[in-house]
Amino acid sequence: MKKSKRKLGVAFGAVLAAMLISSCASTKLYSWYDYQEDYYHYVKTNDKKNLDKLIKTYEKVIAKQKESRGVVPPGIYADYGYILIENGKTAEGKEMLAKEVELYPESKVFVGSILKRIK
Amino acid sequence: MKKSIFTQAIVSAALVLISCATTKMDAHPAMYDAKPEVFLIMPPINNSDNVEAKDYFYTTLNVPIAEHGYYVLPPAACYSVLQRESAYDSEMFLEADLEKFNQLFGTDVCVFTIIKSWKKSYLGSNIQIELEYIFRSAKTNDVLFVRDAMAVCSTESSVKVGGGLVGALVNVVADAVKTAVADYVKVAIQCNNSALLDMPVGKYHPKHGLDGTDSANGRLMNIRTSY
Repeated sequence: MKKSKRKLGVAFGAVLAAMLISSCASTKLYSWYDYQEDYYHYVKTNDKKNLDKLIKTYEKVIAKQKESRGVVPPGIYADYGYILIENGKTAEGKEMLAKEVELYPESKVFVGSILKRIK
Repeated sequence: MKKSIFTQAIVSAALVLISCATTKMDAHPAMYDAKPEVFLIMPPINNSDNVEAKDYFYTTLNVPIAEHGYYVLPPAACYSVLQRESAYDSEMFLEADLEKFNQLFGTDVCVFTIIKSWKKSYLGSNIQIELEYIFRSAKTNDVLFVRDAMAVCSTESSVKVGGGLVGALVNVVADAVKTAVADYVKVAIQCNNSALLDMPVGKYHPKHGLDGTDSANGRLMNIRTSY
């Protein structure tokens, strides 16, 4: 009896500690929706269905940011732009790459090297 | 008797907090010295028997690092460029000079992931994954962050809160991200999120520069998740 009460106390304590720790780490910066799953499925099977799904998710991530930063997460404009270019939509893709550099100037070196190859 | 349960709870909570009472500054000093901003995810080094494990971890690692306030280079575009440059085999660069990644990608850090083992137990339907995360500076080649992770992933029905304090602790985290679809991608997401939980935050995070005294884990982290 005593033992089980102690166990209960320990479990309760662990939950308490978890709550304390997670309260420190709970700030979410961006809304990602199903991006991780959709990106994985696109890498795994690069077909039209998975491409369309990933593009829809990129568009949603770009349009609807509800978390604390309120801006599009790093890399989303650039990857969306890169995939558009790969699928023949060069002008639209370049526009997205320009948006990445505007929002995240630290992407300039990499985006610049992509653009150089397209020309 | 109620009082004693409460006391026990407080003591246990304190013990958990003390057991990871190292501060982030003490655990990861090189991250605070180097102040990196840009991260490049290298294709994981897969030493396990599961050939698919590489993609699970590559496609899910940018999110937790971005959520810590860093700029993570676009993984899909980087993947193609790394392939074209024949730099797809990260093992070649694990201990090599990384300066060319700084020049070509503008990255401050190369993120290496080593999947050491992926074992499935047929009796308990558990998966055990052994992983190592290594962040190396692409400017100085210094190691900035290391984390060993041992993850035990169980199907939902076999998870019990009884795996000791750490087990109970991470079960709470796992419950929060639990979804209906049984999928190994979710296992990778949970592993990455848990293993990098105490990573110092970068410039886009509101706690940037203020988290040095927050608690950190030791190098080895035990993770329990369900899928």
